[in-house]
Amino acid sequence: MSTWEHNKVGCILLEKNQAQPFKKGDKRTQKPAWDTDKCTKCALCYLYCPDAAIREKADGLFEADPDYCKGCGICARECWFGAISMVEER
Amino acid sequence: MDRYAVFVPKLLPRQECFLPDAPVSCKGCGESMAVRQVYKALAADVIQKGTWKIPWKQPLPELKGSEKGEMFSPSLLRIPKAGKQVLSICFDNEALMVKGALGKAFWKKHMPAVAVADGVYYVATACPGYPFDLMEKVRKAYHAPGDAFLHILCPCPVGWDFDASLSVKIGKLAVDSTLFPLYEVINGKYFLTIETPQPRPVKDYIRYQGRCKDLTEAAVDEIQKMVKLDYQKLLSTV
Repeated sequence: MSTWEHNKVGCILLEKNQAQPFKKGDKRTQKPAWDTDKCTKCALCYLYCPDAAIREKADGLFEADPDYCKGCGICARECWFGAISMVEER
Repeated sequence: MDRYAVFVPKLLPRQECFLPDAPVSCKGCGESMAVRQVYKALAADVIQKGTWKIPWKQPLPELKGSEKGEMFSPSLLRIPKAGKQVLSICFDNEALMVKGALGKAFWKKHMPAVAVADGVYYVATACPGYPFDLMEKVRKAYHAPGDAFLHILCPCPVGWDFDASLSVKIGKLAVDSTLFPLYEVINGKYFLTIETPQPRPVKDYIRYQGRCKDLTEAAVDEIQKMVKLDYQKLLSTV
C-alpha cells in the first residue's frame, strides 16, 4: 500500500492566502431566479440565506448578489409560494 | 414572550453584520445561517452602540465528551453583557472538529442541563430552522438579569452528508422528531417553546443523512427509544 511519502509533488504554493482574490460565489453551478408574478415580497428568502447574498431592490423584490451567492438552493426550497427556481449557471 | 406576537421577516433590520469577505463557510452552511440570525437579533441592541467589535467564533479547546478520552470542540461565541455577565452561544454541528468533520459514535453530552446545574440564569436551545424562535431567545438572553447560555443546533451539509438545500428542513425535522426539543430554562424553571404532541419518527430525520447510512434497523429503534425517554424526562420537568 502506498502512502503519501511515495506520491510525486503535485504543485508548490509559494504564497499564503491564495483564496483571497476569489469571490465566495465563484464555484457555484446554479443560481436562483425569481418569478415576479408569484413573489409576495415576504423576505423569507432574505432571512434564510446563509451567506447574506440576497438583497432587496428598490421595488421591493429580491435578487441574489452574484459575488456572494453559492447556489445552495435553500431559498428555492423554503419559498412558500414556489416563486424561486434554480437555473443552471452558464 | 407575547403569545400573539406577529413575526414578519420584512421588518427585520437590514443592517448586515455578518459578511465575511474570505470564503469561510461551505454552501448551505447552517452555522453561518445561525450566526447571521444571532447578529440580526442583536443588531438593534448591541451592535449600534459600537462598544465592541463583532467577533467571529472562538474555538473552545477541550471539552470532554461522554466517553473516556473522547473530546469534541464546539465553537463558542461569548458576548459580554453589563456587569460582568456573559452570554455564551454554542454552535453545535455534532462533529468532532479536530481535522475537518469526524464522526464518532457516542451519545451527545447534554450541554443545557450542565448549564442549568451550574446555576446559569437563562438557558435555551434553538435551531436556525425556526429563525424567529432563535431571535426571540437571543434577545431574551441578552436582556436577562444574569448569565445566559444558548445551545444552537447547526445542520452541516458536509459533515452530515446531505444536500445543501436541505439545511433548514433537517433542522426542522430534528425539532419535530423531538431529537432536539426547543425549550428555555429561566432560573431553573423549564418552559417548552415548541410543543410536539405528535412527534415524527426519528427515521424521517435520519434517512436524509449520509452519515447515518450504516445504521441498522435495530440501531434506529434504539435511538428512537432513547429520544422518547429523553423527551419524557424533559416533559416531566416542565
